[in-house]
Amino acid sequence: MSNDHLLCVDRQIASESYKRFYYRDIQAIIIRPTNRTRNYNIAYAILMAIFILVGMAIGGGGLGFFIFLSLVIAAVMIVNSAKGPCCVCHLRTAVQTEELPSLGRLYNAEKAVAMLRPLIEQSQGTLAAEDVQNLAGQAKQVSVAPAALSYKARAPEKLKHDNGGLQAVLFWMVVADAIIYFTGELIGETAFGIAAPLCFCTSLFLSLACTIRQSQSDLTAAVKTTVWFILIFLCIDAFAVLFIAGGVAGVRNAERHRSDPFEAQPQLANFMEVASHPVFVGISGTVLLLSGVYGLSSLARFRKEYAQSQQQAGAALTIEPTAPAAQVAQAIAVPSAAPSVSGPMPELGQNDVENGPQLNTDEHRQAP
Amino acid sequence: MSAIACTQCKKPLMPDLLNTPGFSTCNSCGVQLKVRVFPALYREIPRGQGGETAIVAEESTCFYHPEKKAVVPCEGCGRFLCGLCDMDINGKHLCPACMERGVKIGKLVDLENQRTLYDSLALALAVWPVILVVPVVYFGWLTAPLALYVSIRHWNAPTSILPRGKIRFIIAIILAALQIAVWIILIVTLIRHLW
Repeated sequence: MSNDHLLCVDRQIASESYKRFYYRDIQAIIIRPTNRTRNYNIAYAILMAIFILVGMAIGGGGLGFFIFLSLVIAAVMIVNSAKGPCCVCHLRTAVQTEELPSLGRLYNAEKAVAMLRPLIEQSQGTLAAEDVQNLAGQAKQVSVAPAALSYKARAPEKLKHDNGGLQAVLFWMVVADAIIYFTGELIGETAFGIAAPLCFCTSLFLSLACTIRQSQSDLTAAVKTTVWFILIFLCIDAFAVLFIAGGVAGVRNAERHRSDPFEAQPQLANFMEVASHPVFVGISGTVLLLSGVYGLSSLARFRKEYAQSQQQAGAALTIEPTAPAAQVAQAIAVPSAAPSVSGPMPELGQNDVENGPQLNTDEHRQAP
Repeated sequence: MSAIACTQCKKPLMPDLLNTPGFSTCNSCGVQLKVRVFPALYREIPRGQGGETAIVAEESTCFYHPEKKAVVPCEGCGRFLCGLCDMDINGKHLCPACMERGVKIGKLVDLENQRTLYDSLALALAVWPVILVVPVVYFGWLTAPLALYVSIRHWNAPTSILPRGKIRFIIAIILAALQIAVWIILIVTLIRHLW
């Protein structure tokens, strides 16, 4: 903060870029609270749980190490909570609306605004809430400045219709994946070893493709959210298999094959051991099956609603067949007897609305 | 006047949501917002000076626009400037060329918009290979002397615009020197062992 401007410093690894906002130009400061603190805490809690599970699976000295890691994460979580809720702070001038990344916490943002306010008011004067109402009333037509919105300012983009074909393939694939998990015992270890990773990778790839494709589509929030949920769950699944299997196997193998470091590396069998573990199969299979079925039902509902809306739109455009042909022609055709009027359209009064506009044809004929 | 837009949904906010003591709810998306507006929002933006056309032949004209009347000399090079070319930077009148030169050589601090942080660079070169164990084996011999060179070469270079000391340079020099010493000891031991 300077005596005439606010300096926004954006720091990279070995460079800084600066933006100066002069107090006389600042039009508004907007603070919007976000759920980032809660989301980070959830992520930390998941990581902590994974570390504790890995520690318990390893046992011995490994448990102590992973408990220490969990405590470090717990400390980070406490610090994150103590810092308070997160927010996004924007600063608006006549030509831009810039986010202030350094004011990411609500407490800091409010403190900064409290410090900035007297400086800006010293430069511009004060404006009470009543003044805002009065000034807004004076401005007859309120228009949104295009520049002010230009930071992401596009007018709401038109959504493309998507039938949800790719999403349907994903949901069926996820259901198939769940079935493979549940029937692993029946189909045999080799078939399971081939089918499960194949299905998993295809589902992961499809969910990625779906998230890209659905961003500008008119699919319902339920379908989109299900796709995102599947993607996140598959990522957690993959992370759990690789991390837990890698960690557990690494420690176990190191004890067994002390003389041969190559043998101590996690083997494919170790990953399969985790992937076919009853707890893992139970959780993954159930979640995938439920999300696949829910996704398919949401998609079916969306398709049904879309078909209904299309039918309604089609019915609105269709002229009722019972109407007499002359009436239809009158409704469509421009009356040939009516004189053409150039210039501004006359305003309609209450009588005109009730009786229809009365055009003085004699006056019109006399006009040059 | 233009309306304030919600930063979440980009829809204009109603005037009764502005300058309220607590948080208010966006009328379009329902998100919580605190909007503090200032008089500049309701102020007309003044139009820029266009430059007046010279009518009499003897009149002083702009160096860059011979048909425009000169209004002020450049404080950097002394050239006559019209209203269009006159750049008022904190009360200092400069021509576009002088302004560009001033930004390039870093004389106009008010217009400086980027700076390289050599102290952070040196520290990164010294620390990262230590944290990432694999590069210390392969690149430590390269990054440590580099960190030392950057620290000494740019010791007097301006660091961040925000006040901070030379502590990064000092840590970088110490770490780089330690790494170099370790490398020298390793090489000497290896040579002795081989011979």
